Amino acid sequence: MKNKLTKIMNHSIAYLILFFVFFPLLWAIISTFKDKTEVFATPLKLFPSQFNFDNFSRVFYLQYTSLGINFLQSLLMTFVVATLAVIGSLTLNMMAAYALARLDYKFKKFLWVYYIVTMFIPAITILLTSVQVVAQLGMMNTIWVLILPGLVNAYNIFFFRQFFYGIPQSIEEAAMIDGASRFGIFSKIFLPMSTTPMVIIGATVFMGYWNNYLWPSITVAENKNLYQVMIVIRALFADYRELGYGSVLAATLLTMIGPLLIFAIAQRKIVDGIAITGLK
Amino acid sequence: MKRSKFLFQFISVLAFTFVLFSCKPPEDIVIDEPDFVEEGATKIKVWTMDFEEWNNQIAVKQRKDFNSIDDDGIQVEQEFIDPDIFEDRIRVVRELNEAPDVYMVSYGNLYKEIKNGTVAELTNLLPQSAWDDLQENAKNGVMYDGKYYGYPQLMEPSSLLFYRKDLLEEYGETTTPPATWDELYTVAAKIKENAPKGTYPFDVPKGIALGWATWGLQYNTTGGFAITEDWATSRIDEGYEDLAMYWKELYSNSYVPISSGDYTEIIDDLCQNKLVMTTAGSWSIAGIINTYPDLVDKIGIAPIPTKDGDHSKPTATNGGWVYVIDANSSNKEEAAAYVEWLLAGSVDQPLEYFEGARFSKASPRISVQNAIDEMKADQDTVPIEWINTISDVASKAPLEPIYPWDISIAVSSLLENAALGEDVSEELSSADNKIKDIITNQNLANNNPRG
Amino acid sequence: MLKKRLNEESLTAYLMLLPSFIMLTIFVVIPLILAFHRSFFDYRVYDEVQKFVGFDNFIYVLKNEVFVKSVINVTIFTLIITVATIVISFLFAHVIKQLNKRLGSTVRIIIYLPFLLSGVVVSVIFTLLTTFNGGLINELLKIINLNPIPFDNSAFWAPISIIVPTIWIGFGYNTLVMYAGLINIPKEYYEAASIDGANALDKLFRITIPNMKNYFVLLTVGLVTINLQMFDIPMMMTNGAPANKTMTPVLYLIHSRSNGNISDSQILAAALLVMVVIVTINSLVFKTLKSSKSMDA
Repeated sequence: MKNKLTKIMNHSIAYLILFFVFFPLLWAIISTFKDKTEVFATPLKLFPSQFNFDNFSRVFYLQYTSLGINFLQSLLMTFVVATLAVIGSLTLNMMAAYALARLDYKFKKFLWVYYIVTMFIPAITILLTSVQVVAQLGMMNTIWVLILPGLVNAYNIFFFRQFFYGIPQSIEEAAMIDGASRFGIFSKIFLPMSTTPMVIIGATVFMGYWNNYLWPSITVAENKNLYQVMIVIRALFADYRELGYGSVLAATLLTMIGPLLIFAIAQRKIVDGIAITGLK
Repeated sequence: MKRSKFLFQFISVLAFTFVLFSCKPPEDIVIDEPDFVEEGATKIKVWTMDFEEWNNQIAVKQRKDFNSIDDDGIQVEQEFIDPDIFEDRIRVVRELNEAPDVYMVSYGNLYKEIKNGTVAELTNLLPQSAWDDLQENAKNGVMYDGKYYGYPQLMEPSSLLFYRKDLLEEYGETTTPPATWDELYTVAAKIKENAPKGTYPFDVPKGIALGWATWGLQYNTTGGFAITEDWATSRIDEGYEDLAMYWKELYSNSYVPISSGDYTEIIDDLCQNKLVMTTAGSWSIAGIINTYPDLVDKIGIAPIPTKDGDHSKPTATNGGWVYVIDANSSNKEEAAAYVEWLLAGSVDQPLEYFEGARFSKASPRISVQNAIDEMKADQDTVPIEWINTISDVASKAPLEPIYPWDISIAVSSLLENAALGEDVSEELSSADNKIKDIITNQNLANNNPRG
Repeated sequence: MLKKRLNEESLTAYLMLLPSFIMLTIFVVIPLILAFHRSFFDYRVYDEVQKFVGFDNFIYVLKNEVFVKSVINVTIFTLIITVATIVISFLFAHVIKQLNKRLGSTVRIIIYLPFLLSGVVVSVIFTLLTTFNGGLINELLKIINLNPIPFDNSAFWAPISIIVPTIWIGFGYNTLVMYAGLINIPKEYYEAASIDGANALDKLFRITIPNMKNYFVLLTVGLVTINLQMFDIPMMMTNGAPANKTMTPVLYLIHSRSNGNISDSQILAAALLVMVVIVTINSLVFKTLKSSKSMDA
């Protein structure tokens, strides 16, 4: 009896939360197809009177306008940049996290503080001076300026470090007795055990690069081949005064291509990976 | 496994829909052809603000027109800049010594650029006739210490009364828009009684816009702005109390919606029957004509209601855009030649612009304004009384003040708090203190560069 | 023997840290030092020689009423958001743990979705719900004859219309991490406690919470850091209204940059002060949630 009650309660909470998360998204998607006057109509208009796709097709013709940006190419370019960033970011951050969590050496405490403090810097502080640095390195308007500066991220290192703490010492000691090197332990034992955090952080890194607007638009402005997808979508945004909220929403929906891609790639890991981790 | 199949199908359907519906371009999209290229010409980089589509199209056409002149030795490279990232972009390119030769700043921001030493003096780069042609208030907006630093493109009054003739008659039982606050209260009470829920009598600027779009009303009610001409002390006196009480009256009686969208889009609410009257900037005209052509006949424009209803006094301030040349530009002469062609020479280019803008702005140039006056009778897209009201209000309007924005925030906080029902006399003294602090901290006293 | 192992260990550690150390130094630490240096000058980009002003920029910003107010605002918002997110995620992670496999996995997918959207997009989505005249919530209120709520222009609702979308973005992610922590606590701990006669509350405070400390530290620091810097949702939802009651420091600096209210070097000084606030609050978090595992490094 008690069990049944708990079950009903759990289910209702779950459905409530699902509604809370899903409903705003659903409402936004419906509104995408509405005409300018219908989005904020009073009294309420639940559904659009007719489905309007102009807001979407607009994006494919930007390359012929004065903006001259090719949407499909920017999609591809963003995908390449974000994928490389995920690989690089996971490699670098996990190595650092392992060294900070499991190894013993001089200056460990100093290095930890050095890393973690970078997490607390508001972006606006170093925006201009970062550009100075990347310009000095000759990276402006190249693909490197898109990928490299965001790769090492103190929060991601922190995340992996906390996760590595949860892996029992005994596993490491057993491997050491078998003659494994420290790096061997990292790559052969820790990496395979970390699929869940890798998926979580990987998805976050991917979306961080996907949603990035300000940095690409100031560092690759003169190389249209490298334009990132958010630049294109913001170009749609800019016209909303005339085209109405529908164009903003269409742009919004287009940004969700990113999350959908992530889901297609990682959804099984997100769902099952977390359930299987069973570390201890 | 099942789920990923579903997801795959979902994405395919989405992709298919895209392909299907993007076969034909939307009707309003403009295909861009490459420019005429002049061999060996000096290239100048121009940044144009990415505004409304009509505005961008004229900007592109005029660039092409300029580039097709094949013996001037100048080739313009134009880039549209999202106003949201202008401040970041311009700082970055200046840092790298790659700033564009020509770009746009608002009247209000011009002084900031001059203070930073980032814009070039134009006095001798443009012919004297160009300066002589400027109206007095526009001239003051680009001149500091007797030198000119920019050439103005337009002036637009920031606050006008837009009203729906049909709704005003139906709900307000009158055909004349209110000129005084008392008349406004009377008609608003009547509208509130008659109109359905969701239709409000009136609206005023809110949020950030409250800081700048009420400058005109502040000037009208109090005879000046929030600080004295010499920037020495605060002017939060009885005049501002009247204004705060007006705000309180509007909100406590629900004559205005407590919250509304961005001031620049407020006209949408008027056109969608959510408002009977509203304060709005002159630029709203283009929005009405382009998006709600059916409503053109039903909308009237008048100066905003004021305390005494005397419309010979200013009721708005003029804002707008100024073209400047970067202080670091190595092609100042050529850049100036382009600015002269675009804004300061023949009346053709400015006229083309103002026509595209549906005469929603006034020209800072006397000769262009005269040409507009001649032209307005010959066209039938824009009601002539609209144009007359705008040029009348614009001609009386002082320029936007250039004192630090924090002062305007203090005033807008005063009005917002009055609207929220806070004690007005307390808010007045708090605003007064804040402004005095700003004057001391920033050492403003006797430092008005326009003074 | 031991010494040799330690040496080898140090070498491995330095090699593993080297690439990230170099990149962090180039792309973050050097720009930070440059910015710090610049904040002591009255910086004008085209001047050959910059004017040194000492701490003037910092002093000026600290005297700025709106900036100080915005720091207080954002601290309060961050406190509410952090506590709410941690509590909701912790509780909901328990709920998910008890769901059957199918529903559980669906829930985990969907609650993660908002985390993948940018703040601007989320604001657009919420604007559709909260707009005063025409937004969904207010239209529904009108139907049942209630007064519409001015979400972006009321001292009470404006903070809420910032806090709710912010929680909406992050709580799914936080729940997933909590959940991962939760299922990693060995069942035997609970079984042993049951034998000792512990009730549910005992188990919560003696087993669950101590074992999740690593995750609490991680999530709290993450939430505090990101929310003290928030600006995109406030900008889109209220833009500081009413009367700066929802102004946040970074938003104020963005405004100031475009209207020239305070100079670029003063903006840098202000941003560095924001960083001081972030570091201070986070050290408090570390201290409070100090666990042997997370702080011994």
